[in-house]
Amino acid sequence: MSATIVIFGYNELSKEIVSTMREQGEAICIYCFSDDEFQSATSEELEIYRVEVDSNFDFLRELDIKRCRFLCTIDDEAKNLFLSLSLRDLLGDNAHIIALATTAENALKLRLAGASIVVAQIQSAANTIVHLLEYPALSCFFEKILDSSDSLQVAQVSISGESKLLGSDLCRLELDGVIVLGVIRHERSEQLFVVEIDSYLLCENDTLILIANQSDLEQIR
Amino acid sequence: MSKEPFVVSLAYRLGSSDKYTNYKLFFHNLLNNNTYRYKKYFDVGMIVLILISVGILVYDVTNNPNPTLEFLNNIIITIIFAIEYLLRLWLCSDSSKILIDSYRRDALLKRPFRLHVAIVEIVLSKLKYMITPTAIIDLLAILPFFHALRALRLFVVFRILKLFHYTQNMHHFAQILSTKKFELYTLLTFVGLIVFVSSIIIYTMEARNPNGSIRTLFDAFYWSIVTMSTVGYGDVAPISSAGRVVAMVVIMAGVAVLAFATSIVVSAFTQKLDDIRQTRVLQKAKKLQNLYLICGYTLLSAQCADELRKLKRSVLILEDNAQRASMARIDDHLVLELSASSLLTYDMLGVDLLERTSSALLLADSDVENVYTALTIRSLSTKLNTLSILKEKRNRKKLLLAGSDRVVYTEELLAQLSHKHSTNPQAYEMLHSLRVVDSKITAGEIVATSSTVLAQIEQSRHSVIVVGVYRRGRFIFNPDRDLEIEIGSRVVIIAHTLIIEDLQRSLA
Repeated sequence: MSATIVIFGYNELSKEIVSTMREQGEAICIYCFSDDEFQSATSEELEIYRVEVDSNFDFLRELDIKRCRFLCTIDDEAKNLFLSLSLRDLLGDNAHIIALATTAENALKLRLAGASIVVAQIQSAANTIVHLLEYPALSCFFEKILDSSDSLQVAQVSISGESKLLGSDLCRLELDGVIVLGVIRHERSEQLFVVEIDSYLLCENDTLILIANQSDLEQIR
Repeated sequence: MSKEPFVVSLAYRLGSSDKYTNYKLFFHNLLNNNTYRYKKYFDVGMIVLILISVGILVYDVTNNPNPTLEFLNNIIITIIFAIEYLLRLWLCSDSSKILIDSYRRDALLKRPFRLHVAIVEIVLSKLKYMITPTAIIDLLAILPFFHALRALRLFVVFRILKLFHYTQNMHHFAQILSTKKFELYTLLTFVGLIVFVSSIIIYTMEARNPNGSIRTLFDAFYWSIVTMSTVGYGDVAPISSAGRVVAMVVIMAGVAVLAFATSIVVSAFTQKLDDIRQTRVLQKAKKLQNLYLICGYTLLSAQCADELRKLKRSVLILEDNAQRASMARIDDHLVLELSASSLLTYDMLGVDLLERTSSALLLADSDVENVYTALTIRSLSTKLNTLSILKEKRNRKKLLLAGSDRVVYTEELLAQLSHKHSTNPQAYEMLHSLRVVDSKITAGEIVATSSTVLAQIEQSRHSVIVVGVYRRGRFIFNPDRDLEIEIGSRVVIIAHTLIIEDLQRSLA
């Protein structure tokens, strides 16, 4: 079951996000903070609500929090910060909040405000530009991963109690056409790359991180 | 047309001789071109000779002349300085060209070639150089008769003035003061007037006083200058009341003169400081190889420049906005306060700048500006790789049409990132951590120098994930270890940073 993406703010960046996610058939819901944004989103036939940034957001409690991803994309970074803090306060630790920041300084503040993931806009763009110039092969690889229309994907597979992979040694795991990147250990929420360990036995609720083409991934799932 | 005179034929031969031209260019670079790599060694050598020469003079003051040192000073160093003077005289004007131009002028006007006119023209061009202050100093520093007479040996100090030739700072200082010629002349006239008037007055008031120390006009001038400079040794001083009144006036005038002089120099420096800095950066930029040219200094430019600096790449920033340029300077980048979209900028930077540039990054905050810069660069070089940031999606095609090889639209990139973080947050976060510069485990590239590089990586027994092979825009994911690949292909691997570095070294 795919997640519902809840986007706060409707600006150029949000429009681009909406366009990307619509192509993938994701369920999207937008909360905007000005009449202009509201009219602009309405004309695009989106599910949109007009709210104020300092409202109590109680209506969000009706959503299935675990299935939602909250994207804070307001242009005003102070408001974005306030919003992230409000969401964390309201929705608790289970909410997955993604916030966009321009500078590294604001990224740190957003993390402190409770954002699960902060995408530092300037740093990400600079990283991409420098990679394009210095590491064309790496850039090509990351572009393919980012491009939703490309078959190459990075995926996360949760190890359930009935999984055949339960108890397998991560470092000796061989899956056809698939590169095993590592695992997120459920117990400690810790990232482990295959290349940094000699052995690790997969446990229930661990998350396996794989890179593969779409068709090979579907077979694994 | 009649046969050319011998001197004109000789001038033509010299002008078309590669050997002669190369020699002339070499000496021109060595003596006058500050960007020439060997000039600094030449300058340092000449400075050492000057210091030796002055050192010998100082030694001679209280010691008997040492024959070896005298030989070194009077013969060797003087000959070297004489050769340098002659070379400068040779380079100051192109005699062959003057001769040929004169010959052609006469031929065009259908009159006999007037050799004497050409010779006068040549002599005048040389004289014009010879009467410049630096040339006069050079000549005084080498004329041997100064050393023959002991009293005139002091002229060796002229050699110190030769330092102007070899130190850029001295040049700058002279340039700065030359911009304030009018103010300095005014000051000098004022000082001269005060000194003259006060000397005469003090002389008339004090010279007849039997107890006074001002007896001669020279004493009066000496007192006047010492008082005006506010030094006031006190060895010569007025004793009459009228003389003391004059002293008070001179002291006040002296304070005013000092304040005026200081303000002239300070204002000249303030105005010229930016120019000097710009010139320095320009000279530095002309020496850089494989540099990245960043056009426009924004937050993104700052981040890109920092990332490139971490990779030890040379970066030159072009930003015509003074405030932004100042920010770039504060961030310790090499910055020129010039417009990236002006052809004049590239003229100043030298014709080969774009050949020495790996890529130009057009990162200004406006698409209009970036399009303009892209077109400027394209008009100068069709080969240079350019990457431009896109601010408005609708302008993508315009930037591509203007010649940008690559256009990066940050909103699109961030949308993709946000999408991946929303749908596969843990997976993408793990993958993303591979791009962070300081990560222990990272993704890197190895350029294949052998077709069996994949097998070599396998044999290295390092813990490495081979993600894929890239060649000419094509990416082969998860290749078989036996796959033979084209030399020059790039292999994407994931491993510990140290292992990647080791493989890059061992497989290079």
